Amino acid sequence: MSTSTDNNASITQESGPSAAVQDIQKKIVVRTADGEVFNLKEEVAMEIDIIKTFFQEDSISYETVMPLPNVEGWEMVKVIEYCTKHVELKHKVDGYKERKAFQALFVQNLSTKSLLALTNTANYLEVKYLLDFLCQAVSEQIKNKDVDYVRELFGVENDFNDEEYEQVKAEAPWAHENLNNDLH
Amino acid sequence: MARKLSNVSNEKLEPPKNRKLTSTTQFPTATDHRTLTSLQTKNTDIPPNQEDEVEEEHHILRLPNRIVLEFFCKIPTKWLAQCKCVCKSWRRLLSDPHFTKSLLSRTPTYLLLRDTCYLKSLVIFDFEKASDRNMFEFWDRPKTEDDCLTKLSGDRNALISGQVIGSCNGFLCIYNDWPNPWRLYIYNPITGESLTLPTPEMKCSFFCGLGYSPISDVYKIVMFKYPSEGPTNKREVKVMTVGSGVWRTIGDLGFNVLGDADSKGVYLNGFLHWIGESCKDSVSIFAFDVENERFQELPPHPSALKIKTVEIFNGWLSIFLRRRGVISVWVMKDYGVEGSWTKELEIEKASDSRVLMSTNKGQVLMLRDWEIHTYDLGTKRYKWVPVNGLPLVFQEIAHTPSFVLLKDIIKG
Repeated sequence: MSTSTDNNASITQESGPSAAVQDIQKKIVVRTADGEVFNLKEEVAMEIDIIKTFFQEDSISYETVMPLPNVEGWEMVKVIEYCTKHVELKHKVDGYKERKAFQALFVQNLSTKSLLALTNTANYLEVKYLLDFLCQAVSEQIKNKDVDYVRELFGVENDFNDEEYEQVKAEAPWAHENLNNDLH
Repeated sequence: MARKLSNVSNEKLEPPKNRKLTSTTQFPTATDHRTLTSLQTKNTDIPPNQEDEVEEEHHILRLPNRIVLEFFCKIPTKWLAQCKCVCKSWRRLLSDPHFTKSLLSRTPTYLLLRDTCYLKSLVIFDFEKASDRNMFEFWDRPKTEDDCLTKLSGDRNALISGQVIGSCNGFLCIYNDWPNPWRLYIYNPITGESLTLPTPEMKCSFFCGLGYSPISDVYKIVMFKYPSEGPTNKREVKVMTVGSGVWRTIGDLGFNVLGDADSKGVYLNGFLHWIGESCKDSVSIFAFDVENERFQELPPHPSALKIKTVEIFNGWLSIFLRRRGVISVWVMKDYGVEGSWTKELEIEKASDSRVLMSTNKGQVLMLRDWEIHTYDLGTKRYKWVPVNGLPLVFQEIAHTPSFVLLKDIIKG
């Protein structure tokens, strides 16, 4: 169903000596669930533990296209984006502000649904720092919000009837008091 | 090689589902600039209403529990308690024995302040947040509720008018002598659950402690008479496993406990601690092994003669020695090991001050004149921590908020 990439296409992008340098850099190829194929720089690919294990532990040749049946193309794009930035910042001494700015932008365009899907993917791919960051991002969305807001955010239906709801609420009435509504 | 995304659009990125591959589908090569706009044009394959059908799949609880735990352990207790009201499955999860236990192990310890002046109410004090706070930010805010304090209400049985004599893994042991006769309770202020315990036959004051044995996964209460003077064979120790409903006499104390009747057993890692002397002038710390139900004497600190209470500091068993306005904090770095008492730090100008906790930033949280301060070990200076609505006079208890239900700790 899918076609593999044309490896020769990778060389034509730049002319001059740098092209030769890029030639030498190893690439790892993965294929996501929807048939999209991605060429990853080795150092970025090795940030993704599941890929690292596949190629290193089992000594599989880099010629092999690794299938990622649980990952969608758009998710792979985001993971690559994050890992690439992470690798870039590793070599920087004071990348704190830059990292924060990048992280803010990274989640800015993601709906809650997408965040959750991406969290699942980060868990499957075993990229711990991305998983931690995404969990933090989701928690930020939940904390300081009241029950109705949280329901809407996660598309969850209230399946308590009035009586049940009052009962649950009464277990911890202090949790529903003194809410600062302008925290929304 | 993977290309950085450019032209990031401002629309929300929805995960494309059921993407059909057509003959025009372009596969990325290294020369491709993958842009979000190019992804979204491919989205036109999906009819709009299909997005609604896939909403179910993104329910947060369909993620592995391990990940849901990661979200929840970063949410403050008050909001987590609210999360129980979101829907039935969230409530089930936040009542599940395994989940709540894992959550407990990831929850930080706060200070529970028991207002001893007025209503004897309980307040959770997030001291890390308070000591981190920016002064200017604080003054800017209207003087209403302080988000470092969470008042706990809903104590229908007015349990908290009693004395808190033990705190272990989020459970409090409370002694209430009104209405007569006196009663003992196990209380979890977060879930609001309480359990009245049968009282043993002790007609006078007693020492008490609530401890946990990780080996058998049970909670036990230990009790012995105060004053514990007189012939050693009359100082019976009674133990009850929470949930068994039965007090067992396990033997004699074998030492004199020093300190007031208020001396609670200090819990650390499966042991409850009191200061005592086995014979005259030989002051030591005695540790009650919750699992094996036996007392053992710990290697004493050289100046043990002056201490009256044991403390926990930064996860170590410790004692605070006061001398000429300086508090020396000594800790037992290797529990039970001879010679492992180490002077951890000194706090100067500390007369009339009380050590509360150590903070994550390596400062010491202190109480001076009923105001919270942090003491910086480097500069040896105090910094006032303004907290709106702090109780005027209080008893502080180290407490880890827990959603564990009573039924999950009661074993026969």
